Amino acid sequence: MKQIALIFCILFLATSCEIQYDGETKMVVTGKLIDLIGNSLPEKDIEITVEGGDLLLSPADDLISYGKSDQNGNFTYIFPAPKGDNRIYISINDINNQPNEFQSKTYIAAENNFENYKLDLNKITLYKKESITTLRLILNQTSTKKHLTDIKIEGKQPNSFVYLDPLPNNSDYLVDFYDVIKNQTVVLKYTVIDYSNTPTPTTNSVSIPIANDEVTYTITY
Amino acid sequence: MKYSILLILFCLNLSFGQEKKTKTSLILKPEFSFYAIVPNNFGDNYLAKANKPRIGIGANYNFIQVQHFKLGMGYDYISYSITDISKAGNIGSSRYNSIYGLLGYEIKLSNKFNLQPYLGFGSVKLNFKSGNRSFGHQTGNDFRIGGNLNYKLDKTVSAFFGLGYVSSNYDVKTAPEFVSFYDNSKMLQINIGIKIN
Repeated sequence: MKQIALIFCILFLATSCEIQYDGETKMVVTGKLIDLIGNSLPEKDIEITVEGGDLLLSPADDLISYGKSDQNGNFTYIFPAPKGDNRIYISINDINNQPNEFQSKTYIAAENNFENYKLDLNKITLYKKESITTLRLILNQTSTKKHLTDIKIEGKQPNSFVYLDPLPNNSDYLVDFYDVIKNQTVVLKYTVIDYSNTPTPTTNSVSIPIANDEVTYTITY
Repeated sequence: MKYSILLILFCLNLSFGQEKKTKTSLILKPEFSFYAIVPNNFGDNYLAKANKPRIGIGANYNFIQVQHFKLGMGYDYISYSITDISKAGNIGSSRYNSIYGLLGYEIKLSNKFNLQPYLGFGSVKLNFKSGNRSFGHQTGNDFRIGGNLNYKLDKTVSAFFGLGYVSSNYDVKTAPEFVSFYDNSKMLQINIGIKIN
C-alpha cells in the first residue's frame, strides 16, 4: 500500500511540476543573422526554450518564444523570466525535414548572461553547410607518463553550440572532432604534461591547412 | 441673563437644524450595476500592440449617496488573446483584472434619463496564462474617468450605456528601451449593462 502511495506521489509530482515565471520581469534576446560575407539572413527560424532541468522529476522544458528573423536578419524576443536559474536555449535555424542551406546554431545562456535583462547576441554568422568540413584528431600516446590536455582550435568554426555560461572547465575531457570552415588555415594548440620527473607542461602550436575535404591530424605525445 | 438664554437656545436651534440637514443629504443607497465591456486599447504599449481583446465583464456597487454624489466600488475583467509572441512570449492570454473605488455624480436629464459622470482609482493585475498554466503577473494601479447614460426601465431597474477612459500603470523590470512598452496601458471602454437600485 505504501509503495502504491509512493508511486502516486511521484506521478503527481512529475505531472504537477512546472517552471515558475515572474511576469513583472521581461527578458530580452536580440541579434542579427548574417552569412559569411555579411549579408542579412531573413526568415530564419528562432526558438527560445527554458530548460526545466536534468533531474528525473524536473519540469518539462518550455518553448517560451519563437518566430523568424525579419527582412534585415534582425530578431528581438521578449518573454517573462523564469523564477529559477533555468538555462535558456536560443536555437537558430534548427529545422528538421526541410531543405536547409545554412547550419543551425544554439546558444545556451543563464540569467547572469543577461545585462539589464537583455542578451544581445550581436551579429551571428551562419555558414552554409557546404562550406563546413571536419578536422579529426588522432591522439597517439607514446608514453603513459605523458598527459595531453587543453586542446584548442583557432580559426573559423561554425560553433553550432555556444555555452555563454561556461561549464566547469574539465581539461581532461578531450574533444577529437571539430567542425571547421573550408579553405583556411587553423591553428591547433595543445599542452602535453610530462610526468617522468617533475610535471612539465609543454604548449604546442601547429598550423593545419584546411581545404575542401575532411582533415585528419595526429597528435603524437 | 435672559438674552444669554435666548442666545443659547438660538444656537441650539441652528446646530439642530444643521444636523437635520446633514442627515437628509447622506443616504445609504445600494445600487448594483452589471455590464459588458467593449475594450479598445490604444497607444504604443503591450496590451494595444501584442494583444487582441475579447468582450469583458464588469460590476459596480454604489453604497453611499451624498446629495447627487455617489460613492462605490467596482471590478472589471477583460481577457486578451496574445497576437505577438515576440513581445509576449509563447503564452495564450493576458487577463486584465481591476478593483477600483468610484465617485460618481448624478445629473437628472428627464424622468427617464439621467447622466452619471464618474472618476475612479484602483488596483490592477495582469495575469499571463495558457489555459490554467500561469506565466506570472504584473500589478499596478489605474485611473478611470467616464460617464454612463441611464434609462429608467421601471422603479428599480435601469439600462445604461457608458463611455470610459482607463489609464493603467504597471510594475516592470526589463531593458530600459522596453520599459515604456510594458509599464502602461490606455483603454477606451464602451460599457453596456443594467443597474438595479
